[in-house]
Amino acid sequence: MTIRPALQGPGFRQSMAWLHTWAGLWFSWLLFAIFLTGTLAVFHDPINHWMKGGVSTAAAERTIDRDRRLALGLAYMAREHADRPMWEIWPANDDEGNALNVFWKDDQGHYTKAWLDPSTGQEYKPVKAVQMRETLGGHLFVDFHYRLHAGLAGLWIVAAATVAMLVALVSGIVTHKRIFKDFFTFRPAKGQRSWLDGHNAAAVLSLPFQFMIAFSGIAISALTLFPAPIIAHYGPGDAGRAAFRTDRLPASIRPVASGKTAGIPDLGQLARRAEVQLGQPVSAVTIDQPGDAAMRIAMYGAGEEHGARPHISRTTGMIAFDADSSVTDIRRPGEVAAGAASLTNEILSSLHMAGFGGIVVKWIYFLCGLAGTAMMGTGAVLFMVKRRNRHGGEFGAATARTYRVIEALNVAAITGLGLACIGYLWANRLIPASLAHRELWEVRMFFAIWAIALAHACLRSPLRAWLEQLAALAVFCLVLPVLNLATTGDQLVSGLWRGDAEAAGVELASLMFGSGALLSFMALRHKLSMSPSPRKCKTASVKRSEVSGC
Amino acid sequence: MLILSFALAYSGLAMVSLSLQRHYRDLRGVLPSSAMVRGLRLAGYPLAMAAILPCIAACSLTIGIVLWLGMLTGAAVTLVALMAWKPRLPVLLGPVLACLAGYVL
Repeated sequence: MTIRPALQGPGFRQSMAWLHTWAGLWFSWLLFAIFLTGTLAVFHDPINHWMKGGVSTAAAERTIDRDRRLALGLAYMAREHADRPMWEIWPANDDEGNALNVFWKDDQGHYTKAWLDPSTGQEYKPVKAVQMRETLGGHLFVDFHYRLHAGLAGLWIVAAATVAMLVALVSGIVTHKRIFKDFFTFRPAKGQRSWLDGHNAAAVLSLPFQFMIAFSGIAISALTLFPAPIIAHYGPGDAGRAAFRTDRLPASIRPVASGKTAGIPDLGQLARRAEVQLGQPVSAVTIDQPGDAAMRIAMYGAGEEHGARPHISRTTGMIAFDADSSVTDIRRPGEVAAGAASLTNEILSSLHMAGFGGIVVKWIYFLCGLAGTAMMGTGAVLFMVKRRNRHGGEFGAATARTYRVIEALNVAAITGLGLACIGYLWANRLIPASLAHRELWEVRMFFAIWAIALAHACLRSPLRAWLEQLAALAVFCLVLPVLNLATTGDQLVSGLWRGDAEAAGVELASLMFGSGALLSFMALRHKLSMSPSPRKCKTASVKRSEVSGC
Repeated sequence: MLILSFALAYSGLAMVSLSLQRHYRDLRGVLPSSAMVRGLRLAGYPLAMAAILPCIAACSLTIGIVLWLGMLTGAAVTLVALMAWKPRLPVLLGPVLACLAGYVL
């Protein structure tokens, strides 16, 4: 990327550098949190699985008589819920070990579920494994990531931070004069130089990912952040939004009962036709206005193994029949009902959430997410490393105090958040499984630990604070498998032995983060033992170039 | 298939990195001639580009593009980390990866 000479006036690169420093710094802590929780959110299902604890219940049944299950489900609904305007049957719900589930909406409009025995069609209540814990699980990381656990206000703050990130990315590229020459450069153990190299490497090498993730993140919430087009075309308020929704999803318009009765056609035969048309096995059947001549039977395809789907968008196939078994509507897998803009939105959403490509893409996103997190962390640390060497005086008389605040925020944002995340997992194992609303207590512990880390960072000197929090982080991460063993009797090796890759993965990742924290701790302690006792940054005369960063 | 892509991306990027004076000097001790620079770039960039083909073969066009970008990032990060710690090692890794990819295929 070359800057054309016309733009390369004496002030341009400097002003971009100024913009990059300040847009970057003020949002770095928030963005670090968004990125770290987002990176963890890639694996929110495994984290859920680990936090719920206990081994999975019955093994999934292999042989499934789909036609019989559909018939049993239909018979049950006709017997028990004949008056409901919507019936839904899942012949083999793979979220529940291939159970036969039926759904309807109760009097309050809530979605209700029942389990049916696949051999008799009788309802039964599934037994919950005793060790299961009530928990928000990995969803806390998802929720914090996109709205800071703070509803609509949080969503807006995250959006603002994302715009700041895009500004920082572009200004950083403009400022990075030697971007091609330094593309592969990383010089370790050289203090401020190494921090800058690390910051550049983390950012430049994962640059396509960074732009994509930031832009797609905003695009997901586009309709919330830019309400004007909907208001202009469909009118204001809930009425306008409802009209927009039906335009976008014509399938959401429920057919109105005509009053004439009609028999329900053979679902098994319709399912076979659906599979031929869609090329996907049928996972769910919904019947609107069952028994009425205006009824609509919609069959939904199941995506193939996550990794095998050939398109980025996540929509599954859908085919709708009427009472005469003729096709009224069809949506092929990967398509959307409402045109190119809608498809673009779906693709951007799927790109952001790694809704394609299976485990390989998930790991690529995890590693690139860590790179982005490192980009922000190294940036924040670099800001202060530079100014410990050379006082900048940007805030006039208040500079030293401001630097102190920034140092504390750096520690709290980086190691503090790390402690909060691992503390959340510790809280999950330590809070008794029987306590009411234990999931609220886990979330409170997450925020409490973070607040304590902030207080600690304010009270201790910066380098002491880094040392102590790194040490704590290392201990909590490395001891997690032992905690699991002590509280549930399950641990890493037995998890691997029984093929539970998800739970074992969580603990292995914890060990890796812990090792990273330990190495950082040792490097910082080594540096502190080699140099004279750390001085406040008021005097700039001492050359600290051989001192490596923490 | 994806290992092949990673091997291609890695070898391509390793060649491109060697075409830069600093890294060539770290390896060979002398500055590269302009013919060497041109040759390395002429070989390296196409190799890194070619890494997209196994990705598309493994999945589809759209997912293949995304995977390819991921492979480039992963290969670049591996290369940078190795060069920082042991400048000679990355060059050896190229042929090792190529053999591994051939074996897997």
